[in-house]
Amino acid sequence: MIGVLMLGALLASAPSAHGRHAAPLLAQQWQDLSPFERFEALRHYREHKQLPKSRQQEIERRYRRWQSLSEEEKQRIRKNFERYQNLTESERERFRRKYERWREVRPTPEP
Amino acid sequence: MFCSRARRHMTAFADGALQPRRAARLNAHVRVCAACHAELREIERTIAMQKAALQAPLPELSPEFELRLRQRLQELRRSDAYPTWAARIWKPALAAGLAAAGVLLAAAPLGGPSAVLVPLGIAPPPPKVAREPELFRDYPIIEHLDELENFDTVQAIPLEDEVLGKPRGAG
Repeated sequence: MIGVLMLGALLASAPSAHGRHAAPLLAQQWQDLSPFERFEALRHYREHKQLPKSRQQEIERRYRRWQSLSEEEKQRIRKNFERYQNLTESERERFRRKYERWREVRPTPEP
Repeated sequence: MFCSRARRHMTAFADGALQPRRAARLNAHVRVCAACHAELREIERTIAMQKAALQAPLPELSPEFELRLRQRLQELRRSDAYPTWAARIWKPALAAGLAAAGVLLAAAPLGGPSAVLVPLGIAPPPPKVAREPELFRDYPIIEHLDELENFDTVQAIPLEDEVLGKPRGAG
C-alpha cells in the first residue's frame, strides 16, 4: 500500500504530457510511458470508446497518417497544438469556424 | 530544539523514559522557553496525579479485579504517553492504507480502481491501449490532426465578420 502511495506521488509529480510533447518522443511501448501519460492514455481510451463508430474510425485513420509523418513534421504539429492551446476560448471558436470554412474550399480533401 | 519537537517528547521526559541526550536537549529548551516550561510542569502534575491514583487503595474491590484494573490503567497510560515502536509503525501504515483506499475510491468516477492501478503498472492496460499507446497518449493531437497540420493556413482564412484580416470590433 505504501508502494502504491509512493507511485501515486510520482504520478502526481510527473510532468504533464503536453510539456513532454515539446521534446522528441521515443516511447512507443506502454511500459515506456510515465504514470501520468498512462493515466491520460487510459482516459483518452475511455473517451474514444464513447464516440460513435464512424468518429472512432476517422480518428484511427488520422492515427495511421500520424504514424506516417516524419519526426520533424510531428514536432511542427505538436508546436501548433501548443499554439492552439494558448488561444482563448473565443479565438478557438473562431479557429473552429475557420477550419469548417477551409474544409469546404480546400483544394484536396483530407487523405 | 524547537517547541513542536520538545512537546512531542515531554510526556516521555516527565516519565523518565526519554533518551539521556534528548532529555538534556529538552531540559535546555524548557529552561529558556516559558511556554514549554509551563506545559512540562502541567504534564508532570498530571503524571503525578495518575501515579498517586494508581497507588491509592481501592476499597471494596476484589484483589483480582483491582490487579486487572491497575494493569489496564498502566497500559492506557503507557499508550497515551508516547508511541511504542509498534504504534509508530502501525499508525502510519494504517494512515497509508486508508489513504490508498481513499485514492482508489476517488478513482471510481474516473473508471474504477483500474484508473489508478493501470497507470501504476499494477494492472495491465486494455489490449487496444497496449497495442497502440501512442494513439491514446497523443490523442488530443491526433483527434485534431487535420486542423493542426494546416494550422497557419486555417488561421489565414477570413471569416465573414473580419475586415482586412481583423475581427470586427478589434479596432
